[in-house]
Amino acid sequence: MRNAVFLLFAGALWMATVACPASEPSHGLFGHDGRTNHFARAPYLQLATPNSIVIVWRTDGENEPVVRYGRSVEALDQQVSASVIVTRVSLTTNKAELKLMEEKRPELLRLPKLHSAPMGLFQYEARITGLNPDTRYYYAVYDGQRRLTDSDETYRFITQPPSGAARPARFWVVGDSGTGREPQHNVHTSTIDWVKQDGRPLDFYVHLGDMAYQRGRDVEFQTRFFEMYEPTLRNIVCWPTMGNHEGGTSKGTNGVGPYYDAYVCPTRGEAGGVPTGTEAYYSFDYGRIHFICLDSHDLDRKPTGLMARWLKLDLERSKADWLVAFFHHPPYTKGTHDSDREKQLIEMRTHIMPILESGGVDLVLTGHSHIYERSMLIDGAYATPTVAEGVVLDDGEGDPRTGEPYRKSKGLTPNSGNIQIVAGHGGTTIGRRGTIPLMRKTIVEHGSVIIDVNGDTMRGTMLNKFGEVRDVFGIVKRGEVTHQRLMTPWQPPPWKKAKSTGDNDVPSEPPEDFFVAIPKNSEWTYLAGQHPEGTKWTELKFDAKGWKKGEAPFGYSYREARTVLDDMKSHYSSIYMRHEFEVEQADYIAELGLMINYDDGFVAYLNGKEVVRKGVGKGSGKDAQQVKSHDATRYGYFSLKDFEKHLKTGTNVLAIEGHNSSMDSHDFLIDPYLLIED
Amino acid sequence: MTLICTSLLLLVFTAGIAVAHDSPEHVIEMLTARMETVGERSDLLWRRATEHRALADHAAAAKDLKRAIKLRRDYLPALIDLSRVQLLQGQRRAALRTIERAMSFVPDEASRSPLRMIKAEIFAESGKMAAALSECDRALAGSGGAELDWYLTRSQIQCRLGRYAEAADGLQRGFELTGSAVLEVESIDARIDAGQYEKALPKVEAALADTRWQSSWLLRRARIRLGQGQIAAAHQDLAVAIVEMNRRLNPAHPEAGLLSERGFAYALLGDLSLAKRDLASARKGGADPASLRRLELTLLSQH
Repeated sequence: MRNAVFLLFAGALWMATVACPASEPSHGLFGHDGRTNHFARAPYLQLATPNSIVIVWRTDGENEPVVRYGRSVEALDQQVSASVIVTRVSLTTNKAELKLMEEKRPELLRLPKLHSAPMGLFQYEARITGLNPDTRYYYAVYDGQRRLTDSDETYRFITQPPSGAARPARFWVVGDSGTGREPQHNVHTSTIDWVKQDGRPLDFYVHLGDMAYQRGRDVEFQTRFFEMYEPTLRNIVCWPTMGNHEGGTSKGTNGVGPYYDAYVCPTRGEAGGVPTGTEAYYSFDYGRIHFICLDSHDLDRKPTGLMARWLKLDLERSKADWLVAFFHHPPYTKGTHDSDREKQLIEMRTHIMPILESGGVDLVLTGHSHIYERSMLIDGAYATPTVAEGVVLDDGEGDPRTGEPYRKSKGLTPNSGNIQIVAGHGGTTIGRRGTIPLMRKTIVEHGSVIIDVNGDTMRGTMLNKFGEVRDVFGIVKRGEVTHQRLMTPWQPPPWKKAKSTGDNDVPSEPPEDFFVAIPKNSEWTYLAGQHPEGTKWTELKFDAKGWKKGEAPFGYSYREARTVLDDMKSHYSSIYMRHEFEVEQADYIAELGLMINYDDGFVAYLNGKEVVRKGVGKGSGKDAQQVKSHDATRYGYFSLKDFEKHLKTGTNVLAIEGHNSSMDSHDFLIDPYLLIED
Repeated sequence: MTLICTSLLLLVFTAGIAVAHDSPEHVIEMLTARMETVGERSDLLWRRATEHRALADHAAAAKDLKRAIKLRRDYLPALIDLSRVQLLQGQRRAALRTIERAMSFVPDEASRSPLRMIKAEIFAESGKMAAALSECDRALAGSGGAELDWYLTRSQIQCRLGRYAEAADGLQRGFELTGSAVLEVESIDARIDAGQYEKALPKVEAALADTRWQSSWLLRRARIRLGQGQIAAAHQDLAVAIVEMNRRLNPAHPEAGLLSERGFAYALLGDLSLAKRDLASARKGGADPASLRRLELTLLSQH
């Protein structure tokens, strides 16, 4: 009965905890009845240092959290238990329930809160300390005595090498990936396969922001980041920077929001570097590489701002051989964003880059712009618009495979050149709007970047979503190298936007990423053998009473027709079809397009407004004229004209009238489906 | 049934669907088209203003924000952003009126704190330092003191009022609460400004023992030594600092912050012409006026 009450209780899982007698163990509600043998968020690693690591996970309802760990899978002989594990919770907002909780379980009210996670979720953050540097450990998460993680060797980590110790490093760089869709998945899996084949595992992962479209909500983090990368996140740390989309719900100024719930970042210099007092920006060391993460989204980017002041202090102190900076907004890009026009990008270039370069930065990793762009070796490119003259130090390919990596002096040398990488191609729709004259490679494909650092050599490899190597660059830091600034450096070829053919009958390319709003072979409501009155039938409020239902494609003499219109030939030449679909937020739709295979012509309407017309010269319905002959040989994609004006949040209707060129035509086909691009 | 299933599926899939081509221009275009259909809405106008701001088009942003407020007079995001935009446009009185209007819609003091900080910025820009400081104090008291930037803003106002010791203490409290190294370093600077050399020196020496680039710390030690009358030792520190800064300064594209520090070192050495040259270059290089304050004050005092 208690369970039944519990399950019915307004989705507030904690409530059952409150309802339990005080004598029951704290984990009593979910702990041992088999209902929490899975995680609300599977365990993942955070904030690695040479001697410590943080393991984070979530459960539905309260657990008695324990992490056991050790040097072999069979001997997890040490443990961290509840008393030193940070617990965060998402509680109800119902006043009555809160009052009851105050009486029964007041300690729950004192726990730190998750910003906007589903009610009843508990997040546990176990900091394991006293570890040996550069050492492999295995771990398991428990609820009291009950093991929650599988007993396998994938739950493992290797502690960071001692700060300052020379050790090869390999890390994975991904940006703008958080869609939860196929390109993101493919980028991840193909990289993992490539790494496996290459025989050198990843040491850690750097995410350049926009990991949880659209607004960085807790649920978006869960489905578009944690579930997507789960097998990787359980054994390597992801070091993040906040993107503008996470900025929809999280704020760098106060460190509150789902982004800050998800990650445990250094604030007191725990992983090397200067204490920041905030998780919004930070630094860490990995052997002889110093990493700097900045918040380019919502903090003051001016040199007098707190972040820039911290950056100067951090650069003063670092004694590494390599300096890598990462943040979301690129100082140089002409992908889906333009660094010559947008404020955040311009400010990162004019305010932050001079500080980084005077500190000797080697590599700058950014996202935001959905493209892969990789620069030559540059320094001092602060002008707007960006020009190449006098700021390129080496205009070669920088390809170590041909013996021509970029070369720099040993150690950190101010203003000695850096490579800029825009890697916003991790999963969302990619695009290009021009050419930055500093870029040696510009590739409009989904992918990610692997960076290897070994002693005095850095190598970057861009993999596309099929795991193919699309760019390789390198830097060797050896001896004393003096560069001359090139006044007429190599220039990338100019880029021209593909011209529209201007032919309305020619379909365009469908978007690379899309949701299917009306699937192929869907059931439509249709009218055949007669004409509806006027155009009311194209509107949402139209009552299609008396219309039939049938699956697309509609037609005759085509084998693929599912709804065969046997009586059409010689009797009628038009059919009328309707299909409703839902959109949660019309304001956020980037494109709506019809994929259609047709014979001979059609007119499509969105909520009563004409949005596509193909093969029908003029008129509509019974007055349709000049229907040109067209064979249904393949699908074509047609963007719906001015859909922004007609699409509504909630229910919409797509209506199509299909026309044959003549009643005696020997065939007919209408086979539509609808795509939404994000 | 298929229809319902499809609809439900899509409802799930399109939850929070993204604008992938999210360049400001594209979003402005989309929002404009949207408003042609659904009419003007305060939230859409505010979103479009945000994009205008990203393109530094303050006039267009202000226009949208004003229309958003006209549609919904208590729409806080628009009121707050309008006040910021007006401040950027130099319209201080209007910015103040707007932020006060925003505050009138916020009942509790904790939620008012961020608005008070905007008000403080407006007062500071208007030269009303005492009023600015009062707003900062109230904001920090109301917020529980977790906002790092606010400590910095308050200390800058205190320093402009000559209340260096107070600034140093406030920054130290901020450092103890948050761990921010910047607040600690700022407190050291404020202590030197306040003449509290004995308190500052151990921290400066500790930093000198642990940094790769030492010029800023040498400069601090030189200020202490000058304050203590150790002129030769101070000049030695300044000379070493200048050598290091010369190594770091990119001759073609010098970093303005570093230029102003070198100018400060020259000024402390008494080389006013070089100091003025660096000050001019730093200004030309876009240095924030606040970063030039010590150099300007030193030049003024030695004029």
